[in-house]
Amino acid sequence: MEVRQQRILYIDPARCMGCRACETVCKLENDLPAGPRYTMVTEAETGEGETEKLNFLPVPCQHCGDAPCVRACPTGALHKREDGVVLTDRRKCVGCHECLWACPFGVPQFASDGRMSKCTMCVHRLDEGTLPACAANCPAEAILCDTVENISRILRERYGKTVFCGPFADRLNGEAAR
Amino acid sequence: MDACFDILIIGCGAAGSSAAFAAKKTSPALSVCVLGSEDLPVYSAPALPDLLSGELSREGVFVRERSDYESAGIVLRLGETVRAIDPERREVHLESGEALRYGELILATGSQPIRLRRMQGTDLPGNFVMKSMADVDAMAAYGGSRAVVVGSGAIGLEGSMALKARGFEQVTLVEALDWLSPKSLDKETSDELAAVLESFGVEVLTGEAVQGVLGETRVTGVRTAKRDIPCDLVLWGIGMRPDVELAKAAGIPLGQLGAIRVDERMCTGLSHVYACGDCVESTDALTGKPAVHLFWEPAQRGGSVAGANAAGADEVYQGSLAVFLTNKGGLSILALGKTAREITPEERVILQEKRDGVFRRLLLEDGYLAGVQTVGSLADADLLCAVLKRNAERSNGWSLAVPVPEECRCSVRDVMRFLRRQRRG
Amino acid sequence: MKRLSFDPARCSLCGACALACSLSRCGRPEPAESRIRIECAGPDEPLRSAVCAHCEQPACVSACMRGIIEKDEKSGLVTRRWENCFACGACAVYCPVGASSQEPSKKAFTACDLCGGDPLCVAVCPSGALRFEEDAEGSARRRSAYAGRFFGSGGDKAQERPGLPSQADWERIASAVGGRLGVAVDPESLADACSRQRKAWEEEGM
Repeated sequence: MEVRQQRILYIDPARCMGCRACETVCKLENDLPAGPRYTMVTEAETGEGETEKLNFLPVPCQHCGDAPCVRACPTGALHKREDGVVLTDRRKCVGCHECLWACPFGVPQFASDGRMSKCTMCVHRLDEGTLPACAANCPAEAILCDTVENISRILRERYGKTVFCGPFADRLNGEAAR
Repeated sequence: MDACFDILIIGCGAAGSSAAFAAKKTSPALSVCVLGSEDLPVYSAPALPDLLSGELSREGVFVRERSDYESAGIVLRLGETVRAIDPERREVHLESGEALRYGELILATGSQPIRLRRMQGTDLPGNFVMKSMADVDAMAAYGGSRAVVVGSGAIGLEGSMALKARGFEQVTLVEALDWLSPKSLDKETSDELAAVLESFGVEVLTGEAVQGVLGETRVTGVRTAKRDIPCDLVLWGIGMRPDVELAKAAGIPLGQLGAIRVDERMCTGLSHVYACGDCVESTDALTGKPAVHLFWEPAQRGGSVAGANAAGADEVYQGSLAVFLTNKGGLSILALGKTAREITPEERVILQEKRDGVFRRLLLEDGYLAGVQTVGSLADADLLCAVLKRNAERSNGWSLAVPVPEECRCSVRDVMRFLRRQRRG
Repeated sequence: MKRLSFDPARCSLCGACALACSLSRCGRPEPAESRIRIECAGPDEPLRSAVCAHCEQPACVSACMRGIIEKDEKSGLVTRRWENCFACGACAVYCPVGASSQEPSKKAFTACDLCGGDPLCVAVCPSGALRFEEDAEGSARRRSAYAGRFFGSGGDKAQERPGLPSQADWERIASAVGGRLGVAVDPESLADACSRQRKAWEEEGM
């Protein structure tokens, strides 16, 4: 499948308010025990004084295009599905942790059985035609799940109004808003 | 009343023992019994050549002690021969007349060395195989200073090295086919190997079928198509055959290769009967075809899958690779996956090098690594093995994208570098 | 369980981990005999560590033809009674990460035993690439580092290889190694041996 048509989870940090609803519904949806977290809202402070701000970034699996975990897994337990979802075959996993060392986002999780599990983009819901739990339940619509081209369209609609800057920004942004 | 066990295991080798321990680990409340025909707990058959050479002591060959079974709560009954299995009534009948009832049965009956009983002289004293500790003891007690080793599989190679190390003056390795270990190695690799063997003083004769064993009351020589070789003993290493007599008699379905067919959960075609080890036909992880891999690792891993599943788990055996591995006494050979003959010439690219005394031959099929043969070192063995396992599934494999056929200019070194880079994620 | 966690982005390929390992476990400064190895495929290629991961389903346990490798259920460690090893090499062939290394005597294969719970390689790692931590800790730390990079805060912006240890670092490494072994270690010869190791690793990958 073309990359444009592959599904991604898009995180819009500008909208995330750190409510952690995604973490909660993810745990419930995937019936996760204490320990593994398929997504995690991480915090980062920026600025100083008046500009000081606490930012939030939910970090689920990024379902990378050329996923380092898939490349690193020595047993072939990880693969990227045609529609872009990176999945784990837990039966093939031996728990060697190569994926965790390779992943730049710290996504792979290890439950008490020692085998790797991670965000599946709620593939069971996708296959039924519904959105992943996090995307469906985010009150701020900060988590989107769709194909790359649709996400691009949604973001254009969402921010098209305010993206102009420079000397004519006011006029252009005003026009865009009409 | 007959004794009854939740899980009864026939065979106390690598597979049977690992099945017993896995079953106990999965479900400690179940009663587990292991029947062994030899009066010994599990020992390492691959270590027998080291016992023969004197490198290892007798104790050094055992993998587990009797007390290990006891402390795990496993009933160990050694020296028991099974006469028949009655799958209808879920009973196992022993030679002693006793019947044991079972909830789940695991067959780990192993394999038997092939013997050429009809060939002249093969019944004389001085004919040996090397499958059990008793075989090694008998060979050690027999003595002699000149040996002929027939067959060049693992037993043949390691056996001839061990006899040489034991102090035999003359050791001759005879292979009927054109080169050594033809099932696992290509001719080029075999030539390298032959040179190593000869450097250790083992004489290598290929393309010479044995026609008979000479001698009146005991072995005095071996006759091949080309010559008579005087010797005191003959070690037969011409192959192993899965031991399926019991299974066959009980009506357990066999596969096309003549071993017990099992599914990925190690279940046989009969309910409540599992099988593992040398007696089963599983799937080759690389080709996806049925395969009988008589090797330690598949036995051990298949055993633990069978044991766990018999105790109620849902484990899966992912198949095994064809592995030919010998690393002892200065002889270091590794062959993984396919040989040149198993790959169609149009899709095949062969890269080969000898550097710093290490011979390496890589076989690519359609741009993917499909076979490896090395002599002299096990360096990078882990990488090559991991690559082969991954390449079993092409969609997930590490394609080398090597142009086919021969115009490619890449070397073994290039390929190794590429694979290392791939693994880095 | 706590395990060795390797962060390729923070590793400078200085070689201190391997040198410390070989000194403490083999008794001589021969990083080629170390139980940890860093693999390098070129100046800008990501790095990879080859060290025992104490896997959940260890391939070495079923491969071992002597039955001397075991997965300890309590501690989670993969243990080896390597005095009884007869060097068949099966663990090295089947190990998915390349962690089995041959003893200097060539009589046995060994692997990292986490120094009994206080790994020296972690203690000497000057850049924080090697840590000894729980999986969850490591995962959370990596996620936070990513968020920091994302918002442009935090010091973890660098994705290029960090610089080699300074003189002060070498002195600290030498004293950590010396402290463990109970002998005085000269920082300069340590740095020299490491730089040889680094070259060997780089050449191996070229």
